[in-house]
Amino acid sequence: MNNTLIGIFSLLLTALVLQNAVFSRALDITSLLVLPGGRKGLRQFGLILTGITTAAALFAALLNPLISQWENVQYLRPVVYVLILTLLYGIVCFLLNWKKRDWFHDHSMLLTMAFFNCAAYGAMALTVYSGFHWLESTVYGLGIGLSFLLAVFLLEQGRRCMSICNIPKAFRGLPAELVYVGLISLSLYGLVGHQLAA
Amino acid sequence: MQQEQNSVKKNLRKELDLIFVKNPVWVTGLALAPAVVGSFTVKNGVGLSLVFGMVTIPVLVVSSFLGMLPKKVPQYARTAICAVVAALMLIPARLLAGGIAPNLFDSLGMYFSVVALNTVWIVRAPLCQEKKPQWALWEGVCQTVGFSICVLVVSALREWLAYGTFGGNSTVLSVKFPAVAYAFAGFITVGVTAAVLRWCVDRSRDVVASVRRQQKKWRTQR
Repeated sequence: MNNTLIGIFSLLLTALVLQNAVFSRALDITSLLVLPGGRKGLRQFGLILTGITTAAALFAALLNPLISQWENVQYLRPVVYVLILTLLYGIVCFLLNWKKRDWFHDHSMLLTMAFFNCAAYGAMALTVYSGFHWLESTVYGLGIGLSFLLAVFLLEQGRRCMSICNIPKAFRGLPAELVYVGLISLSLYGLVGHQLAA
Repeated sequence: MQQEQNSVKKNLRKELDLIFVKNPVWVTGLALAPAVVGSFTVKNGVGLSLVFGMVTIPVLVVSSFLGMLPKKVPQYARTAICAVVAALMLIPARLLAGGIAPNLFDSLGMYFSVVALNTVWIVRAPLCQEKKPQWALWEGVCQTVGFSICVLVVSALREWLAYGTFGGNSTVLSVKFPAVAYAFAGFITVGVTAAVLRWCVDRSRDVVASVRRQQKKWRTQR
């Protein structure tokens, strides 16, 4: 029991820091950098995304034994993952449109961006490629979502620092933020201890 | 008739801006994940451009047709249809990529399929519903050209810096920094090239403005 808990905690920590979805795989970097709505909007998006990555990873783990038996599975696997996301998106939108119409109308674009993005797909693909069982997959999916929230926090700090710096005009905005994200990514690579070829 | 021709020309120019002035990756910041991580060799860049075109162009055209549906059909149902089309387009893209370079799919890994969920069509598909199919097609082509230029420049630069090669062939100036193939270098390369593009666009605007001022001056002198 203790070993399982330690394993799950280390998996969560790995997904959160060492294999951070944004900094090490650039998953959902577009939403992080260009999504409008400010700090509050990004946090809200992060919470929705966390729910989606967790559910998507769980579904992928549960369906994997079934999908693996198909012929030409390498061609069909990505299609099935996108179809699962589409199905989840359809169900969630239908329920929200039915029960919470006002909230849904205000946040429909946010929901679309949260369902159809690299992080949701990545959560499904990475858990299956890593051979995780359902509990590990769920935790890994949760870690991917939380890693986006961690990236939001780090980007907020970076934006605050950049706002008081005299950045050259050509670098202001997206280019400077990309370089900033690149430097954090480099520091995480250093933490993992990647060896560069001599 | 003249007015119609002018409007067509204006629309054509507006969409052509998507190649440099409003480049989907460098300027708008869309579809960054494949451009940052996947583009570390020219071969990968070509593969990504191919998949991007095969997914984005049909999805934008389909969304234009979806705009003709009655308003009762909710927006989320239209987006879901676009997602299904994008997913299905991965199959011919994979077959084509396999024909061009057998190990391209393995080299790109997850990022080959991630292109199906690129933010370009997610953001542009609702807007294309108000366009005629031929204009949606033209926008898809311009977005693809813009994405391809960005990805090919970034991948050529990274391949040269990381392995000292271009398209797998060794170059005269052979420098080797293997770390450039990692994701962090992708972020930095895309950021720096975006800044260079912005500088070039600003300078070209300045040049055009000064030429116009000069022309105006000459006219008034005459």
